[in-house]
Amino acid sequence: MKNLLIALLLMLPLAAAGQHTVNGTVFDAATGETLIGASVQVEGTSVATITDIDGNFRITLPPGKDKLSVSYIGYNRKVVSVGKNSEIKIRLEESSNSLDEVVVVGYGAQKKETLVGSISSIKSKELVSVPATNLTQTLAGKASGLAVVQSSGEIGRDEAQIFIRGKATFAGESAQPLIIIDGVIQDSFSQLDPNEVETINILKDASATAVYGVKGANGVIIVTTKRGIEGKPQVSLTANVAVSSPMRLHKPIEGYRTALLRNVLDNAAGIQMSYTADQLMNWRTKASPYTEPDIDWMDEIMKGSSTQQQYNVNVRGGTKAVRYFISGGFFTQDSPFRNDDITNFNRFNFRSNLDIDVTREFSVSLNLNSRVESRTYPYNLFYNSWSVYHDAYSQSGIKYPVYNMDGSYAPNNIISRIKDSGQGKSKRSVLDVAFTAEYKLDRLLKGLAVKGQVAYNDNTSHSKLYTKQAAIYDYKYETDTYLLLTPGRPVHYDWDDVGNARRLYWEAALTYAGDFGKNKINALVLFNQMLHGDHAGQDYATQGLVGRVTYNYGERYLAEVNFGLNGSENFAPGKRYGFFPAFSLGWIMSREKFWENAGLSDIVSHFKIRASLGWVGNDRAWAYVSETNTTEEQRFIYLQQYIYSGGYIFGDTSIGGIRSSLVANPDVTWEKSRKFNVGFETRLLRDEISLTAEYFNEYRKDILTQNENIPSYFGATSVPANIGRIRNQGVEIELGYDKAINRDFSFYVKGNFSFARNKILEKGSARGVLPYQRPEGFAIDTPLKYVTLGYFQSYEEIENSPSQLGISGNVEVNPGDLKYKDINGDGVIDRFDQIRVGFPTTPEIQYGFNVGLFWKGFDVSALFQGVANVSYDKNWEIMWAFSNNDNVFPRHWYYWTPEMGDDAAQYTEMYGKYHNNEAGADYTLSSGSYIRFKNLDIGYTLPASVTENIFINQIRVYMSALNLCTWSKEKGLDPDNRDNRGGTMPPSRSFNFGVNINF
Amino acid sequence: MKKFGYILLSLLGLIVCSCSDDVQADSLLPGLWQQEQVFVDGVACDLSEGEAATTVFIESNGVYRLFDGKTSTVHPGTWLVSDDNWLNMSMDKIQGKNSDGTFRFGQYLVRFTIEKVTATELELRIRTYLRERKLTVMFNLIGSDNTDGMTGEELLELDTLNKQLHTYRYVFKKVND
Repeated sequence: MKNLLIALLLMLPLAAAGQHTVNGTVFDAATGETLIGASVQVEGTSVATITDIDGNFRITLPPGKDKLSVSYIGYNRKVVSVGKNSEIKIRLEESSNSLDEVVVVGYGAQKKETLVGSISSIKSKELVSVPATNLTQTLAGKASGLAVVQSSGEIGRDEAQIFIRGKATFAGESAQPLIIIDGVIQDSFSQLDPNEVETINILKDASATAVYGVKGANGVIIVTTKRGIEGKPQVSLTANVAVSSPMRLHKPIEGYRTALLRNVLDNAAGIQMSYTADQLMNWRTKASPYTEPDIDWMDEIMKGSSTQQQYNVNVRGGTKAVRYFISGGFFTQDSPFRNDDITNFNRFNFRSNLDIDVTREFSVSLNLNSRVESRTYPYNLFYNSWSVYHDAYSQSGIKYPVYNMDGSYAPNNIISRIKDSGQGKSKRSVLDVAFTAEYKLDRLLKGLAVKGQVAYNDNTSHSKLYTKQAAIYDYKYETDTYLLLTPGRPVHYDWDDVGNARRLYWEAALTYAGDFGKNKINALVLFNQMLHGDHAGQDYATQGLVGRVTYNYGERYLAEVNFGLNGSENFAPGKRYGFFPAFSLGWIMSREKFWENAGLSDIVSHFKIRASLGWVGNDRAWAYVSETNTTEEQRFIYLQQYIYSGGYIFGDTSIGGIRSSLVANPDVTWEKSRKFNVGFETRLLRDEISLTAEYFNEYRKDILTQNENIPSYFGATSVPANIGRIRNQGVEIELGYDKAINRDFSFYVKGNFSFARNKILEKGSARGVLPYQRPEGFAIDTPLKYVTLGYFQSYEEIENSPSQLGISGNVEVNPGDLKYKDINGDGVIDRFDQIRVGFPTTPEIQYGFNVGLFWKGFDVSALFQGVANVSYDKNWEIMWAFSNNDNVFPRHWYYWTPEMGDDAAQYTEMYGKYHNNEAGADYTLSSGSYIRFKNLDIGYTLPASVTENIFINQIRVYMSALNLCTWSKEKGLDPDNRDNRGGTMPPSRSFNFGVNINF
Repeated sequence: MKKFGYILLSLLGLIVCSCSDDVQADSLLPGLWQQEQVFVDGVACDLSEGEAATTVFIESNGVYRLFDGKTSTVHPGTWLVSDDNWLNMSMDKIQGKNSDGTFRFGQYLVRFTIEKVTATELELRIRTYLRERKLTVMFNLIGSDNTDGMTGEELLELDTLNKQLHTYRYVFKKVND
């Protein structure tokens, strides 16, 4: 016995000698922030610990054990070899596919693994290094079912349009999704600082959107900003400088060829040709720049590049009881125009999110967001740059020089409209304050809680304009005199305007979370109300009741019921409220015993199928107003409207009066959408591969649209009625592959694909419209056009073809003109031969492909994004030569002649006065399909051994680019441009250099 | 060494051949050219003395002067080679008559295909309507139709004739640079 004890005692030091104690810290590989509560386990044993408040741990490895397994929610698990090290730093990569991840949904949050709704998420790191000027631009190609169309690159006004699962209603604006920022409905999220954003979730099916009732029909975008985390303060500094240049400027051809083509056009029109041989010689030889100028206005006004800068500093941290996130940011962008030191856009963002656990039961949050946007433009660009940009490509460059010989402005001067027209300043201040309180009523019933939120938004704008006039002189060469066309006027005050809109929102909710062994139940009942007022007296209010019950049995069988009960002022009493339920089911098959028994869990670690069926509504209506000749959003459409217009002559005096305007429709109610969604999610090969696939089918009825069957002799325009019906269906696929080769090298490949096709079932079209011309049966916005067969080759062919003189205004047809198809076979081409052709103007297909790799400190990611099945309809200046001034573009040079023939022709014959070619044919339709190298991001994170010596967690330097290249069939304009006159400034290509420091 | 030389020569050849034909035509066209032959729909026309005396002086700055030997008139204009083998010329085209009965011209863009251009030969081709040929000084003025006294049927017949397409080939030889 004694010997045994001695032997044991002798063995102890030996045993202790085999053990190995390691001290370590666990970090987020991307941000350098320490991770609190990360699990550290000796591989193959039950020896484990978790990291403390500073991310540190201490663990003793048993003899013969060398590997540590480190894991944390939302991050890829990592196994590291300790070796002989007693100190170790471990960096974990964030996983985009973690099942433990919590996803923000409508009025709450759910674990991703047990989610039954169709939701896509975009994380903060996918947004911050993109040199976009606003947040909406950063979303393109990043999630399935999301169409992002940026048609303008104008500074301060370049917000992209967003469609979720295509378009499923007629009116443009009302097809936009609902925007929620930190639980509060907002008009837009474009001007948020990307560094404030934690995630952006896209809610697509009824189970996700039903709780928003009338507002959820077009999908919901939930933006969640960052919040404080327990731990030492972590400061992040980011600085970006980018150089931008507009993509695809539309430039006319030079003066000599413009003058040549003008003469051809004049000859075709049967009038004296405009330019003599001497003038053509001057243009050809550039011998007389003042009498025969050759001005490229696009070159004269557009800079090669402009700059933008973005800076952000934020700090997050806290204790167990108090957690904070504070962020301040500044963005500035200068003018893309030459001679313009006025145009400027500045934005200051401030955000403070505070979470306080007052007691174990009672917690409060206070969110404060403030933003100041300052825009300064030359007077003529104050509302938009359309007239200036449009004139730069369409205005004649051969009539007047820029400056006369004495340096004064020559006529039609675009530069004077930028540089010497005065200026307009607009400042917008936004304040959002939200206070949330939650009290747990566990003493009453375990899992029960009551929650309330009050949010206030104030949006004030102040605009002030000063106008100025530069003197314009017309130099008369013959008499060597200057004729004053427009006298100069010094700067003087023009007008100013103050606008203010306020929104008060409050909600009260009762929540329950019950855990009964295998049965988990969550419930929510919430009432909310929103009051909106503005200085123009356009007050409105909404209120609603929301409920949700989720049931989870054994983490395998999932069920959810949602409902929204909402009211809208747009409808008469008795028709205001609508009830919108949604039901969804899910089954995590991979949790079943049969799955494991069949050996499938070794390959497929997770497999879930889910389906949902629900109803959502839309209460916004748009109607054509004849008095203003525009389509405007309508309110109180159940009430008769009157306007002050017209009058009556009493004796010889005209007395103004009021008359009825839009005729009331007291029966209007909300449009209803029934949405069905079915899909599956799976993870394969040790969670390296993730795949989500879905099919959706939406039937929308009672769409508010104007009835075209009211005859014109009725004498008034009716408000929209609930007569429209649409079906919208499609598929979405998201596929990802995430692989860590070793400690130093990992890569990922992700792709998404969406197809959504809608079909109009009913639109209130006039009964007299021919069946094949009605919009019913086609996608929304499918153009109605003649079908072009080609160009007429000879007069003989014209004689032997159906007559095209039936086209309105058509008096003559010549070889080189467009030949149209006789659809109804009556031997005459007229308006009855137009049919629906081409794709709609909203893409049916979108896709994105993202690849990234990490190697030691280097990281590279590239995103390609594209769309297909979309038409781009061009008209006016960008289509027809000389339709407005001297707009002539390269394709017009290739006008049809018998010598050129069809092979070389890119345009019709240079026709004169008749309307054959501009009759409205598919000739004007271009394919809007494209694939774009959307983002490239290359970064380098300095080694920890370098940064720690200067007490910095992480320094990352990077270069990124936006809109690098675009490949499209449309060659002239950016295919996302929705302006059929091409007058909207195109989006920009940007190259950005930045640095991010965390300490 | 020989092989290297052949490769170099081939590369040079490729570079030279890949140069735009615009550049080649631009450098070969300037000079004085005399009309040698005219083909209509492939059939050679007998040139009159005046037509054979027609010359075109092409200047390198994009201007030319045409001497119509048939009418002994000088017609100025401009020229531009584009898209490899197009010779675009602004040529006088009859637009009406002046008060003194002389023709009023306008400068009209005529686009020829350069079939051949060397240091000494130039061949141009154009497919166009008879009416266009009659009205344009291409490179001789044929003149517009005299419709005085024509009946309606005759006018219709003339219109049909003028709308016929023909292919014209013009052959020039260089007199000097």
